[in-house]
Amino acid sequence: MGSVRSKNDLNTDTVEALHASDAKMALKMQEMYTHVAMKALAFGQVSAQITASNPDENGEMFEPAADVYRHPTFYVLPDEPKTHVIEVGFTAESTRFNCP
Amino acid sequence: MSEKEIKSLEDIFNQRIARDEKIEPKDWMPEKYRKTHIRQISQHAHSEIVGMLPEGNWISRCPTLRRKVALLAKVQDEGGHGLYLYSAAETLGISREEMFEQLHTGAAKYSSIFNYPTLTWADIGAIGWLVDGAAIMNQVALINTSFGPYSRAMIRICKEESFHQRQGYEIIMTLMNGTQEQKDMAQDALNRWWWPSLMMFGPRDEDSPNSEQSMRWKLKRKTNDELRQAFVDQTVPQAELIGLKVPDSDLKWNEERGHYDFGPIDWDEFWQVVNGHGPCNKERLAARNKAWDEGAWIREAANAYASKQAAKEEQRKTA
Repeated sequence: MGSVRSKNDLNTDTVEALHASDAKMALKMQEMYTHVAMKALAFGQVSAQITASNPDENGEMFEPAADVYRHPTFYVLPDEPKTHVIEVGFTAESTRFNCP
Repeated sequence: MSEKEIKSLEDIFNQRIARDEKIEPKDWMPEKYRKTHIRQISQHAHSEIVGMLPEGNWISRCPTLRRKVALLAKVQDEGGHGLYLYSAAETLGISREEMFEQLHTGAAKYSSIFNYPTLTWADIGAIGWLVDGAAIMNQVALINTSFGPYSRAMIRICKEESFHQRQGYEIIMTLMNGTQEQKDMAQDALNRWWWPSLMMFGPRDEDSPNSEQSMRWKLKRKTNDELRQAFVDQTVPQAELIGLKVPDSDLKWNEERGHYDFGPIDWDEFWQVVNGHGPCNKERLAARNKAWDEGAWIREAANAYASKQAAKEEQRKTA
């Protein structure tokens, strides 16, 4: 696996991931890619040596444990006075708090 | 770096803030931004950690098992929140040891609210309803703060806290549906916790010298007074609904403003507690130090285990 960095970009974001059968081939691919796409930097890493998080689990990183008593609706409250919802600019449902 | 270079970095930084971009730990940032964040995030972490103490006081005396699982989960959450926040502060170049040192020697501040005692079971309800209610108000606003790790910690913390306030209100409501003695207990808790809860939002805007810079950096998204007003507006109807009287003779709905007017806060009391002379400042610090000292053997054991595992791993690799 290899990565390239955009030109003049201070962050080392991985802008593209390349896959090759071995290091030599990977570097060849990177050379071509950086030439064609005008990228500034290429580096390679044997994929077996990469430890990374699983992007599919990103949601869970923000989710609380599943115990029923950790859920707001476990607590029985009246509907009135009107449910207060604190809205913030953040988009996700997660930031809406139904207060009693 | 020359002054000119710093100036241009600062311009880029300010433009990023203006565009609502998140600032990440490895990005260039003004030294004051870094320092202010270390102070605020570590104080927030300390507040979570010390916040476990007043509630922990009641875990073994909860009236029912239902109340006990909820309180245990809540106190456990506070501990976890402290740890996320210490991690976020560490990304700015302060070590956890330094932060613990500051807490244990009394050099660092934490939320003054935790320097009040939990005298009755109703106080656990009042803490959930009022203290967590006030904290959530603050923390929801902080989801949009400019420093990435702090903002992301806030998302998770807010999600986890979503049950804290409700469990508190449920406790108070249950007491208000009970005997006269239980009702009196709930009212007494509100009387004692109301004003300290309003103080949680910090000094008035005009007396909060760092506020303006914090707003510019989007470290703060709403001023102390704005958040305090929102809290009063939200909480007063909740008190009235269950027959509680908010202990403020000046409190009344102001039709014109669309908000509640409320009486003056005793800022002398606020500063007295901030400066270490609240009812429980010494007790809280002593309890933290005791827990730290008595937990030394656990930290040693965990470190010994970790280094043994690392040595084994090393052996496996070289074998």
